[in-house]
Amino acid sequence: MVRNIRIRLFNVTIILISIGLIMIYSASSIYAWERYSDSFFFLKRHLSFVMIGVALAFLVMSVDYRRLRPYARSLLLISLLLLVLVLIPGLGREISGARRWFRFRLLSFQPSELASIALIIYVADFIARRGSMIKSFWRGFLPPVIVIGAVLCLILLQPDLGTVIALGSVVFLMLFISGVKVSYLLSLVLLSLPALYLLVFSVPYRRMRILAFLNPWADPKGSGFQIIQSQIALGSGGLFGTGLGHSRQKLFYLPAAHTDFIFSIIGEELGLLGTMAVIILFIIFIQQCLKILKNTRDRFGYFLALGLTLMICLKAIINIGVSCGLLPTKGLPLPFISYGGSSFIFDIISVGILMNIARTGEYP
Amino acid sequence: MRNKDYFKGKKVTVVGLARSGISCARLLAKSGAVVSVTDSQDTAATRAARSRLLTYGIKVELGQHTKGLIRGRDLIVASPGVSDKSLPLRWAAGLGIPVIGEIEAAWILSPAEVIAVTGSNGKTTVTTLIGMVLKEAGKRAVICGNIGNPFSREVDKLRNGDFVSLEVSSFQLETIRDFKPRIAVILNFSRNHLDRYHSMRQYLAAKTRIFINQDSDDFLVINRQDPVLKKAAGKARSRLVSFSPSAKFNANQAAVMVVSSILGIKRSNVLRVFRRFKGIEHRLEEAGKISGVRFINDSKSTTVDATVWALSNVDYPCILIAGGREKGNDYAPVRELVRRKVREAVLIGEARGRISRALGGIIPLHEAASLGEAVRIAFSRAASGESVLLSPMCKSFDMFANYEERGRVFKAAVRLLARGA
Repeated sequence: MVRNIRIRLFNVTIILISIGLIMIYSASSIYAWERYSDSFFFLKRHLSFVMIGVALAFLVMSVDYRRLRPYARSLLLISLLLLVLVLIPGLGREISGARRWFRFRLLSFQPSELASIALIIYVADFIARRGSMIKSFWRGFLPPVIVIGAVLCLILLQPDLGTVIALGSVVFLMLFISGVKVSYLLSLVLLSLPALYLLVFSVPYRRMRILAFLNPWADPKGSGFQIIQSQIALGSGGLFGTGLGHSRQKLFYLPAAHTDFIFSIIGEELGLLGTMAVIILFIIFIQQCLKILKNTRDRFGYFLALGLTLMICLKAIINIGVSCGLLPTKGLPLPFISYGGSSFIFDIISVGILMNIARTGEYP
Repeated sequence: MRNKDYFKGKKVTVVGLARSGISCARLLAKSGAVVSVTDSQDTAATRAARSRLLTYGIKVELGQHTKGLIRGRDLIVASPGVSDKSLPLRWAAGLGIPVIGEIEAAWILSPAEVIAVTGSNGKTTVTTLIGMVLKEAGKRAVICGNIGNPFSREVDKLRNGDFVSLEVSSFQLETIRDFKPRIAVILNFSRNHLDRYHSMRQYLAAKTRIFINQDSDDFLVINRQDPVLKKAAGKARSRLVSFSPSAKFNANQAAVMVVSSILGIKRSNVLRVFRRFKGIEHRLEEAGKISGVRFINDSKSTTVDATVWALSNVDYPCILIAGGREKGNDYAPVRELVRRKVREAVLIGEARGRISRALGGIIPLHEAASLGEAVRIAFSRAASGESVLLSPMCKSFDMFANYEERGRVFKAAVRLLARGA
C-alpha cells in the first residue's frame, strides 16, 4: 500500500517534469535562437538541472530522513549566512533591482530556496522536540517566531516578497497545526498586517502591481502588460489550444514565457484541456503527499512532509493564480514545470525527502 | 505522536492472542484496520478471546500459523514475548513486511505524554507511583503497560495533555521504531532474562532502546549508582537526570521524586502518595499476621535479583519460601543476604534441588510438595516477630498458570491458616 504511494508520486513527478521539458522548449526556442543563436539553449540547461536534481533527489531518498534532524540547526545557520552574503554587492548578483542570486559560470543559485527547505526542516524539528510544550508562549511560540522572522526579513531585503509570503504561510500553518495557541498566531498576523501594508504600498513597483492586478487595462502598455498578455494567451488557447508549438504569445509578447508564465503558454498551446491536465496532476501529487502524511509515525516526519507539501502546493497555487490574473503578479515558478534552476532543484529534492518519509516504518 | 489515520485501510495481522494481543487487535479494528490474529495455541482461553474478537469483525486463527495471514499484509504486530525467530515473524522478515510491537501500535494512536519505565526490578512499583503522583497533582493519568493493563486498552480514552505512566519490558523495547517517551526511566540493570538474551550486551542494547528516539527536550532518568547504565546513557540525546537512594528514600522512591520534579509536581503531593502507597499486589505485599508472624507475598519475584531486592527491603529475620521453574539461575548473589536475613527456607517446585545445593550448609532447608504445605511448614518454624516471605526466584509455570495465581494461592493458604489458629 505504502509502496504504491511512492510509485504514484514518482510517476506524477516524472510526468510533470516531462510536460515541463516539452513546454520549456516550445516556449523558449525562438527567444533562445534570437538571443543565443541556439534554440536548444534553455532546454539543454534545464536538462542539466533535471539531471542534477534527480541525482540529488535519489541521494536524499536513500538516507533515512530522521538523520537530517541533527543538522537542522547548522543547515539553517548556513542558509542565514548565505542570505546575508547574497545581499553584499559583488557577491550577490543583481537582476532588475533584486539581489537574489549567486552566480557561478553556468549555475545560478538562489539561497532563499535553500533557506526555505532549511527553515521547514528546522520548524519540523522544533515542533517534534517541544511536544506539548509548544503551547507555551516563551518556550513554544517565541523561539521559532524569532528564527522565522530573521529568515523572512533577510529574504525581504533582497527583496523577494513572493517567497516571503509563501514560506511565511507554510511555517505559519505548520505552527498552527502543531498546536501553537491560535491567539498568539492571530495576534502575530494582526501585528504584521501594517508592515505588510507598508511593504506593498510604499514600494512603487509593488503598488503598481497591485493596481495592475485590480485593473490591468488602466495601464496596458506598462504595469498591466504582463497580466494582459498572459490572459490573451490563455484566452486564445480556447478549449483545445492552438496546437503544440503554435503559441503566438511566446513570440516576445509575454515576458518570462518559459519561467513564471509557462502556465499561460500551456493554456495557449494545449487549451483548457492542457491546463486542466496540469492542475489534475498537481491534485494527484498533493493527494499522494497527504497519504504520506497520514502514514507517518513521528512528529518530525509528519511536519516535514506537511511543510514540503504545503510549499509545493502554495507555489503551484500562486503561480497558476498569477497566470490567470487571480493574484497580483509575484515571481514564483511553477513547481517541476517552469525553467528555474535552483528552485526546480529544490522542488525535486523535496520530492526525494517526501518519498523518503513515505518509507517510514520500513526502516529496521 | 497521534496519527489517527495511520491504520486506516491497512491490513494488519496481530501475532499472539494474550492480554495485550486482544486489546491491540480491538484497538486496530476500531481505528479502521483490517485485522487478523494468529496464535499457535488452541486453548479454552484463546477460544474465548476469539469469539469476543469475532464481534469486531476480526479473523482469528488458532492452533497454527499459516502464511496466508502474513503474505500481503501491510504490517505485522507482534505481542510481547513473541520471538523474532517464531514462524510468522520469520515469514514477515522474508516477505519484507514491517513488524512492530503492541507498544508501538498504541503509541502511534496515543495523544498523551508518555513516561516510560524500564529496568530489571521495581518497574511496576515506580510506574504505579508515578501514575498516582500525577493523579494526586490533579493531572489526568493512566497507569499501564507490562503491568496487566495493556497500553492499547487505554489509548481510546486518552486526550491531549494526558499522561501515561507506562511500564515497558525489554522484550517490548525490541520492537519499537518511533516510540518516543517524554521521560524515559531506566531503574537498574542486572542479570536476568538470560534465557532470551545471548549476552548482557544484547540485553543492555534492548533496554537502552527506550531513549533512541528521544530529543534534546526529553529526559532520561537513570540510577547514578549503576556504572553500566551511566556509560550507556552517554549515547542519549535527551537530558540526563540521575537519582540515587538515600537514607530517607529507597531507589524506587528516589526515581519517582526525580520524575515528579521534572514534571513540576510539588513535593508535598509526592510525599502524600508515598504515605498512602501500600505496595502493589504480589510485590512485598502484606498478606496477614498470625500470632506475631507476618506473611509477605512476593510472588512477582521470578528472578534471583528480584528476591535480592526483596530481601534487602525486609526488616525482620524471615522464613523464605522459594522455588518454581528454573532457567539456569545463578543463586550466588543471594547467598550473602540469605545468611544475614533468612533463618530457614522451604523449597517448592522444580528448582528445589538446585536451590538446596546452592544454599545448603548456610541455613536449615525444608522441602514441600505444594505451596499450601510450604506455608504450613514455614509457619511452624517461624517465631513471633519474624516473617514468612514467599519470594520464589523462579517462574511459576511448573505449578501455576502465572505468578498472580501463585500469589493468590499463597494468600488463600495464609487465610486458611488464620482460621485454624
